[in-house]
Amino acid sequence: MFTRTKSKNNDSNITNVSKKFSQVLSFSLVLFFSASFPLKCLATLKVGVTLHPYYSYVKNIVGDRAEVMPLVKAGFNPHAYKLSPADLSRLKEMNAIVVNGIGHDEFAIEVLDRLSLPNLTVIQANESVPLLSNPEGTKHNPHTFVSIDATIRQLYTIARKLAKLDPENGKFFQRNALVYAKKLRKIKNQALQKITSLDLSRIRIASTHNAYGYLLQEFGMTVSAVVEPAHGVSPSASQLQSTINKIRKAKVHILFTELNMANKYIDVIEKETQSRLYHFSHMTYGEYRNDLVVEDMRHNLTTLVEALQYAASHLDISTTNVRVL
Amino acid sequence: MTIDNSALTNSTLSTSTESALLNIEQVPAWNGNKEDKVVFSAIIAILVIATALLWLRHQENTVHSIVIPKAITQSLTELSNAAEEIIMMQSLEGLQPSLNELKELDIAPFAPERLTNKLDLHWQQFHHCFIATAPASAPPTAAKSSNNTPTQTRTHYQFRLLIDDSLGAEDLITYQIDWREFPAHSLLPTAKQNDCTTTAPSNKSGSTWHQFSNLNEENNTDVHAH
Repeated sequence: MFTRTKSKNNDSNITNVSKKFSQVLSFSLVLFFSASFPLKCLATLKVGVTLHPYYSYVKNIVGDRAEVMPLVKAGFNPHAYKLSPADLSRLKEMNAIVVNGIGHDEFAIEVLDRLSLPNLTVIQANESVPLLSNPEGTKHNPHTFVSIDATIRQLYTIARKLAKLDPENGKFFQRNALVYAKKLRKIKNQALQKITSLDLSRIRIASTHNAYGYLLQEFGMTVSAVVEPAHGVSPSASQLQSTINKIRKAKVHILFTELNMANKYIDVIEKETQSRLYHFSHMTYGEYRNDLVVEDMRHNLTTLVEALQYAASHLDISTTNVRVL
Repeated sequence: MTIDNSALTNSTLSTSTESALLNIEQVPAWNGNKEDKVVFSAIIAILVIATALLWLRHQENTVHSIVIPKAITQSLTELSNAAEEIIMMQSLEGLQPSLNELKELDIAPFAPERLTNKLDLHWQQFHHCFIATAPASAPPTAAKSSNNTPTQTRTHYQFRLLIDDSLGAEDLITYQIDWREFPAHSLLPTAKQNDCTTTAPSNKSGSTWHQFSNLNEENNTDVHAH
């Protein structure tokens, strides 16, 4: 009986020791992780973005090795936005911010010019993009993010700048930029294959928004007329008439407008000018998404191919009719 | 004895009045002519000085930018992307792709152009220097009838990519992109090794290289102050 009690005591001692050991071990593990985790948090780069496409770019470049923070919550209109106090406090948390910088995110640029934030690096994504400008070179078309090649140019700029800020992950960022560029180029090549055989030389294009110049120039096309007086502004009756006249004069075959843009004037223009309407994505809508750019580029290029094929076949028919006549 | 105070007072008064009358200043009637002239001259002087100072200040800050012709923005974008890719290949994988390899890798603008309405560039390589000539025969055709774009004069263009493989600041391989144009009536220029030096003299036709800005170059001649 006594022996049994003693052995029981021994067992309980062993159990106590092992319990204490496991407690010490778990405590040291907690200490270790709590000590290392904040360091890791501090080391993680916080990169802000002003527009939706830049969220996709940066997210694809940094992967999980940096935090990507939109400056403004989703659902804002970049053409008429003023930063709120909440946006400003987010801005102060960032180590770097990627901006369009040539006219599409003036709401942020104005504030960045006024505020003194010495710890914030402003990355001008368009720094090395050859821009479409007015004849004086004073104003630029800011829609570089709608084009594949200009997007790739911006990706390399962003990757290079982020690599400077975080040299440890620099090569990782640059490799990711290359991979992402390859993915985008694949979409372009698929579109190119479908239109190589077409005669694009006589196709005339108009758009309701001066956002597609960079995209169209990749395919050797230019916009013959821009319908609206300004982005998101509907034309007056006299402007509408002059637009119709302009399109007729320019002999436009296809008209590009914004995705989800319900505009009754567009229908009138389409009917009056005998041109065909197609919708492009402007990529600055909805939630910030990792895949937004790839998905919308694919949509835009599919639309472009469809439009060019229509216009080319339409031209063929009209040429044949003329010959028959 | 009585003093005639009134007589004394009268004589004193008459003397002082006389002397006072003698010292009266003659003020001419105000007609405004002189003041107007002074004020007008002062205003003119201020305006002239202010204009001169503003003009001098404006001259110092004026930035003359060379606008890149629309016909070549796409080719420059492609070349800029290719330059980044070449240096990434060199720094990440240790590769130094030749012109033929770039063509095989289908890297624009080195790869043959598939679309007939785009600039067709003819490339030559001199070590780390790539020079392309775009003949005037292929401007973007849709632009020709464009209403809102200026009529494009047919022009020859030349592009140059210089890659400096000696590691620069922060271990970055540097590169430089330049372009120049020639009027269509001039002879199509042939690229020479001499064109690869940044100090190369202007061509016979007087065309000078315009440097396109890139991340590695601090002194951009693309935009310069006077």
